[in-house]
Amino acid sequence: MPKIAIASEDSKGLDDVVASRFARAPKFTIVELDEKGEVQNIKIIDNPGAQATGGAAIKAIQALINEGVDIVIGPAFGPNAQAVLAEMKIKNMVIPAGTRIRDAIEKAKKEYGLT
Amino acid sequence: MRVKLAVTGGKGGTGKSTVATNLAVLIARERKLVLADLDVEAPNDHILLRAGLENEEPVKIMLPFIDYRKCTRCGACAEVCDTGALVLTRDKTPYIIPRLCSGCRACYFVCPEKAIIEGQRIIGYTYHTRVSMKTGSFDLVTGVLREGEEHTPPVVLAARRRASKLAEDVVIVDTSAGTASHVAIALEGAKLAIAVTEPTPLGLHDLEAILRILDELGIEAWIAINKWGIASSEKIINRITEIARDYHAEIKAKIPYSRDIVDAYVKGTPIVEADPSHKVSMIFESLAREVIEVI
Repeated sequence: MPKIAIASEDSKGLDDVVASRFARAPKFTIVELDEKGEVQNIKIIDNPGAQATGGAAIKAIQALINEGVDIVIGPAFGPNAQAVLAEMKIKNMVIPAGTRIRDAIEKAKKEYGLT
Repeated sequence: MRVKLAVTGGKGGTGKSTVATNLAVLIARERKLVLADLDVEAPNDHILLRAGLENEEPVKIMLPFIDYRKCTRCGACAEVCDTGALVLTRDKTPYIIPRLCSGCRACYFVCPEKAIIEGQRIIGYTYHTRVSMKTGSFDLVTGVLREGEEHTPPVVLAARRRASKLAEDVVIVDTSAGTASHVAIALEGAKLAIAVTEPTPLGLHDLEAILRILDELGIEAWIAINKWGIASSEKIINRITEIARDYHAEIKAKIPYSRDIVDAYVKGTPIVEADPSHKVSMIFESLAREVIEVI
């Protein structure tokens, strides 16, 4: 059952939108899918990178590693973020800022064959 | 007696390097001089002086390696890391991202198992070139940060130290734009700083920022307004005068915008050398005279 983390503007769950940045997104919405690809669990965490003075992307990724995330969705990923995500075997998917989280999850399901 | 003069200014593209190289050529006629290009992210004094980069020395910083046989996965190294260069996998195995590491050694000191091995990494280079002009010669020290690197201070420091070692009479440091910590490192120990600005709203804004830094550091500040005559609305000129007064900084030069400076710049010959009787050269001449009097 894959876990997907979405860089999010707020804590509104599936009705929230993809944040304008990955490393400094205010929140991460983490959804767990069941075998059929249905959302089973939603957890919202604060992004420790949001207030970091430096190395924001790494702090954000550390939180995602600790949560056991398999796929991360954000509007863009910098070179440091991409390198570390690849090393940690976390897939990243670019979805434009402002996309509803509900729709972003559907796109990810299609992309990774989770339905 | 060694004296350090800094050329800085806050905003980028105001002509710091133009002022620094022209002053260097003039002052070198009378004193033994070292020009240190500490704008390590984009050093260009050597281009303006048509000089090569010679006598390369690497700038190395510590890079940690982990002895995984000793590591107990306690996570202390990642916790203390300030730059995010240490990531822990889910089972808390530390993983190092060299590009983000500033070489501070905090992980090395904090590791209870002594599992951190001290390695090294080259983040930049310093160079020393002898620059010959018709009227004399001087030493140019240049710091260059390797492309893709993020940690400028060690390279600025290495170039500054190399210049100090060579210096007999005068060191002129040419700082990078802005007010970041590496600019303060470049300014450290200066007796006098010339803040080069331009009569634009951004020039004004960044001038005030650098004057505040100089005030904090206790360095006497002079102001040189370059590109005088472009967009110089009365409002901006009045504001520059006000700021100068607020920070007890004297406006020492108004360098008119001139196509001839650009031509000399492109040819790699400072205007004071290319055209000594030019009105701009005369302004540099009187500025250099004032500098020599102070030092």
